[in-house]
Amino acid sequence: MVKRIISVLLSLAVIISFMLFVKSVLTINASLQELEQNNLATQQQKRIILIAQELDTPYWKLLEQGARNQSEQYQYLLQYVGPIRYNAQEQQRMLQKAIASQPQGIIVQGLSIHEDLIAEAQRKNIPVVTVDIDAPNSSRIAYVGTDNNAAGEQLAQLVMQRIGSEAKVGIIIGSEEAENQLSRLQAFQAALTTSPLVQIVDKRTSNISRLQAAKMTVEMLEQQPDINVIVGLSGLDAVGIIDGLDALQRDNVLVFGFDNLSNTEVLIQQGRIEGSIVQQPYIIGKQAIETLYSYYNGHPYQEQIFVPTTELSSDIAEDKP
Amino acid sequence: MKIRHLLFIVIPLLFIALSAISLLLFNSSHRVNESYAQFQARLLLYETINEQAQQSVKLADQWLNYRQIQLLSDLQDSSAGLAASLEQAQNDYPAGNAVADALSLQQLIISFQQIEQHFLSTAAEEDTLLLRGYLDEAQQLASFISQECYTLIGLELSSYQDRYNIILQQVANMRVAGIVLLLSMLLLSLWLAYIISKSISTPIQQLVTTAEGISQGNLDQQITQYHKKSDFYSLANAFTHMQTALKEQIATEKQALEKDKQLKEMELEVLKSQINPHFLFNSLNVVSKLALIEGAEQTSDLTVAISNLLRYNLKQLDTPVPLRDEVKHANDYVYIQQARYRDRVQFQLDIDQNQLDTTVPVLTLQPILENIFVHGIEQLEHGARITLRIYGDDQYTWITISDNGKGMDEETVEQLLQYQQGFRSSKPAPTGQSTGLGTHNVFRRLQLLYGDQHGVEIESRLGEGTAITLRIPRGV
Repeated sequence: MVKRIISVLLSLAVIISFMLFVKSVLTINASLQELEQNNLATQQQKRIILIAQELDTPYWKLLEQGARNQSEQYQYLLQYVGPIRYNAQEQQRMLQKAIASQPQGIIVQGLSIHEDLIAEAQRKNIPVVTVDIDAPNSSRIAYVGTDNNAAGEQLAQLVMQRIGSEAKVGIIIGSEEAENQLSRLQAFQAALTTSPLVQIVDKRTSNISRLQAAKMTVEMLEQQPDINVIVGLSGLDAVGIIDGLDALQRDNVLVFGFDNLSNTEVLIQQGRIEGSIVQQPYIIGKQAIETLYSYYNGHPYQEQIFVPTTELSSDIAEDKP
Repeated sequence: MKIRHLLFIVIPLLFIALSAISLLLFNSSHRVNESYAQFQARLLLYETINEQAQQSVKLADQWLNYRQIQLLSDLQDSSAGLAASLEQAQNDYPAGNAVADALSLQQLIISFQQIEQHFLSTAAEEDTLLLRGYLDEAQQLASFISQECYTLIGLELSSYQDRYNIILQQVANMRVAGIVLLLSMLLLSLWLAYIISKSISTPIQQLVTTAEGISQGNLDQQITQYHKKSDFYSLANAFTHMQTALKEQIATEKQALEKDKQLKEMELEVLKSQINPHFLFNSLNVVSKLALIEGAEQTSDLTVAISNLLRYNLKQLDTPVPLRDEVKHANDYVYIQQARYRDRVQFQLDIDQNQLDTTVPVLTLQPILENIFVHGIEQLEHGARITLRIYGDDQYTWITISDNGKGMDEETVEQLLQYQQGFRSSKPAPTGQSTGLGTHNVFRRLQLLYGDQHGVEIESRLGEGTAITLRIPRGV
């Protein structure tokens, strides 16, 4: 009996350690395989460069995620580049470099300063898809993104629903150069002028920075303390506005925002932010790749693809985009 | 399991396991090294590409400024170097996400080379403005290349870092597992060696003990039984058979020895009764002749009969004789006794002549007749009758000797029939009328000679007589 137990124990020790040993070997081999992966096939794969506005913002990361997932499906190679901090010149240089490296497709924001480069890309047979911001006069093959006019209007509707009677509205805009912001602003302003109760009293630029948004909020409220509604038109503005209100210890101001970044959703659930118009960058990224796929394969595609926005307010905070 | 099979399985298995371990170990360490070397080669390659591009730009710039022929050939060398690097890059791609960047780099290099070619083909011309344009373009491309190279190096480093940590972890695991594995293999093989040697030595030890026991005469040992598939199964079986056979043989031999011994003892008894027989014969012959001369014929006949009787009695006890001789001898004996008993005794013979050829041990009938004379009819005043009947078939001869004397009680009959238990030396001393051999002796001899084939029956009633029947196998 003792003999049998010893035999079984020793055999088990041998088998288990052998299995662990083999497992380690296999893991090493798998890791090496990944490293050594011979990409002869990749030379035939299509290479698409996605240039972000700012590399590490949640909006662009979601957009990249969508694009990457879709690329994997079509076996495209996706290269994600962008400036670390928002910088149009840097972005332009990256576009220039992207064109020089001759990929099979480029996805980029349609800033007006890019128009010449987009034309050059077209000369080199590189299709360019604009996202987030359109450049309708350029030779881009298509635009995929939010209909900013509609989004501005939607925001205005949301504000009008929420305010009681009279409202003095302060606006914080991400960038006055960015066409998407301007479109939103114009649509928003246009929608609000129909209501006599609402009055836009101030407008400031946050430069897509939370800190700047907070600073602007404080300045705005110090100058005109009777502002009771503040609207942020770019991603982190609403959160910045809350920071500013916290600094002033004001809580009688209704805050509206754009997108669902940082802890926007939590703040909406707490009732600090009234509501937000949320874009769907993941779907934008997916659609951009989809458009390129259609272009490569000669399928028909729309020149302007609007990805709808969703409304996130305290009533429906559970609905994620 | 047979030891041979066990060894055939265990030893190769151990060797295979050890070889597999070594092979795996060598293989993965080789692959790790190779992958690391490749990784380093790629990093070096990016650096080289970067430097070559910068070098080309620098040379082109110098050409524009100084126009030395040497610079042009240097530029061509640099260009060739870049082409070689490009080829190398095309054969060795990094893993994962860096592939796209590697392809970008290749395209940038190709663009750079195109500009370089344009520059070289128009370098001799004096059109400095055109050349300056090419140079600016090349400079920008070179800076892109440089940027891409650093991006790639960063990507490679970070991707390798992740993998490298995993690999390092696994190598550490592998080392621990390997040491444990080798140790447990060592213990297992030692244990197996112990078990196998034990499985050989234990049965051998047991069989040796058994064999020693047998050699010392202990034949009743329990021999361990082994599994049918074991090598020791047949060995143990052989041992068991040997032990049984030995036991049987010894028993047979003991029986034979006992038989011999008893015959010897009987012979000794006979010898005791042969007191100088030749002198007796001679004397009896003289008496016979003298009686004949003196005209006493009956005396002479009697004397001859006595002489014959004595002569017959001197025969070896285990000599087989035909029944005929026995009958004749019985007649002589009865004749002598009749000289004593005269008309008191009648001797009747009822003999199947065919049965007279049956051989019987010598002195089978006489002791029985003697017994009848001594115990059965001595007391009868007249009308004593002794009947000898011989009959039988092909297989057996029956001899019945009956008298009408005083008979025996059951106890005596019982006692007579217990001859099979062995020879009783303490038998009652023979009386004066006996030649020395008792009926007991006769029965015993029949048993020893014929075994189960013989038969003895005694029918007796007090006052009515006794009948003793012997059954003797024919053709023995």
